[in-house]
Amino acid sequence: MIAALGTNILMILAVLGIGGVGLRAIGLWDDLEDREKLAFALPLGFGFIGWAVFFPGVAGLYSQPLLLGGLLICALGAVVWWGHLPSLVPSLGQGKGWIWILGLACLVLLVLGLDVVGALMPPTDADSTTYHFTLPKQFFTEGAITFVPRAASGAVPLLVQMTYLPAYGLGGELGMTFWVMVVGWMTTLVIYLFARRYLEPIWALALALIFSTVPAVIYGAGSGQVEVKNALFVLGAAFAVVEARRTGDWRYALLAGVLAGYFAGSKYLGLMFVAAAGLSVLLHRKWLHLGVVFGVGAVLSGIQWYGWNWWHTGDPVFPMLYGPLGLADTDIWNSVANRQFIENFLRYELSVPRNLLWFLLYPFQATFVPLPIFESGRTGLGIFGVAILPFTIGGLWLSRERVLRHPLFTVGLIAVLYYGLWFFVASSQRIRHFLPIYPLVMLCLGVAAQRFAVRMGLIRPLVIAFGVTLAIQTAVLVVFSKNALTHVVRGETRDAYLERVLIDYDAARWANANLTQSDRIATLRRNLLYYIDVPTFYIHHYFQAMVDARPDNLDVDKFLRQLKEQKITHIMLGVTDTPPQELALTLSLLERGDAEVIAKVTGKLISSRTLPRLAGSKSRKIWMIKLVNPN
Amino acid sequence: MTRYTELFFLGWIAVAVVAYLAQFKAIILHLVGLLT
Repeated sequence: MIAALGTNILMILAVLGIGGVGLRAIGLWDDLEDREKLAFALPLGFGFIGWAVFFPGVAGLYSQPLLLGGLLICALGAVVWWGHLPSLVPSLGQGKGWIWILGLACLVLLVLGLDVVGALMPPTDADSTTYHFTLPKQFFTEGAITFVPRAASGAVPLLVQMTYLPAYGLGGELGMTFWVMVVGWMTTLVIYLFARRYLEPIWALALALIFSTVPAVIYGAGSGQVEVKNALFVLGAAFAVVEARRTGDWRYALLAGVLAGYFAGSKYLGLMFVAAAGLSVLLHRKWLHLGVVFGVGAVLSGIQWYGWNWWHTGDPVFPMLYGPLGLADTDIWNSVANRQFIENFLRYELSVPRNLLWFLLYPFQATFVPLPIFESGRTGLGIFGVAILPFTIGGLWLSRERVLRHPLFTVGLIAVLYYGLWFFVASSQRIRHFLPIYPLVMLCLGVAAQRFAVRMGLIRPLVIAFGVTLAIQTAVLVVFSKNALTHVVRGETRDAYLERVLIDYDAARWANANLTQSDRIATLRRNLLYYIDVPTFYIHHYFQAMVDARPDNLDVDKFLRQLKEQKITHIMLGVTDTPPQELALTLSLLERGDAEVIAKVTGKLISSRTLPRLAGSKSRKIWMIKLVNPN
Repeated sequence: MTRYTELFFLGWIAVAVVAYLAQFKAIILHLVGLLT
């Protein structure tokens, strides 16, 4: 616990330190008010740590002393804040309606308290236990970054996840889960700080609090999911673009480029944000000058993982350009696997046609009648945008002659450009992919709505819209936190908690108790990869091609040969009541006598961790299969 | 602004909230059941 807290304090100081020094280095420190210094320094420092941690990993130099030394050096820079941070505190107390601020401050404490309790829990989100947390843990344990030849959850940009690595390396699992919570609150703070440009403290605080309780944020901020963390980069970059357009100053264009590049270094979709922010920078008479500086900044901060992928596969955005680049088949990817990947991705990730009508309808469909692939019901963006929409429209109408000159026009433009690129070009319609941009939308909608309400004497309905949104979302957070609260109140052990909430956890326990480091277990149970301590292989049928596990592959000899090439000794197979089994080829191996079942573990399929009684759960058998002659 | 204007905005919020919560009817009833 002490190591986790100490690590987090050190990392916060490191973010502040290197962020502040960065602003000084590009000469913006003296131009910015204290509030804005912090708003830009947090994303700059956070991104730098993720960026810098990459290099010793590639050189195979990860160790606790190196990570500690690096963070201490960054933290030394925090002295630049001497005399600047305290001036932020009084800004909270300015303006009217302090009683409302006090009420919101109490709500902040409640939300923060629940988030802290959530951060004490072992990770259970499937994406986090597949790669967001698993890869930093693996890289630290191995002392180096190794190439993970797997689409979507391996060979992808990992800049944000690299910040988890020192948190894990120095603070253990608790250090890492606490760190993701801390970064979520950094994002909330930055929303507040930028909102203060246009809103009194009470409105800015309410807006920030609404963001921190958006269902998608509740779901993602405390896990390894990167969307809330990327929102930090998006906010900093968007307002740096605003300043670049206002002043024509290349330093803001550089800052915008670096922050946008961090997003690209964390997620392929960040490339679309680089395009959206870059296009907005170009709307200035010094467009070429600013555009080049922006581009240089984005390339410097965002290119590392694209270079890493290119070096290992020939495709910088693996495997998106595999076909267009005409790359040859290799041991790790081939044209059959690529076709399977593209077909499945399109089939499973897109639900509505990509046309103008759906471009306009998507937000409403996602809010009120979400299709499963949107994941916008229980983990959506909430009601806030729709609830204040008529206020916003009224605000835009009232200021229609000035709106194009307002700084938030640039912010809105970036959001619309990103939304357009994402909707028409990207391969997934999951709403959380829009989450990094959502704070920009909230700011634009919120400021226009507040202006309208003040001018038209409609404060009361707007307060009700904010209040109802906060009430619903806080209730969602309380329900979501029930698991964590139960764990704390019961004094439950880690094992008991995981047994209760993690699908098939007993299978991981069996593997840890019965296999050794010389074994390697192939499994489709991705949610267990973080918890299985022996070497694993994620034998997905279209995310990897080293073992051809496609349902239409009937070549058992080839399957067995590829298993042996990957030094796989065991297979973990979930056996359900209804065929086909998840790895039908494995059953063929059993029939031929090339493999044998050595244990049958009872797993548990949990439909909802948050509402287990409503969704129900059922037990199933997990077969532990050993290859008869793995060598 | 007239009282009717305010009612329009309040009505909009009410309709939006009810329409939004309708998709969670089963969850809400379940939670209410747990509490009562």
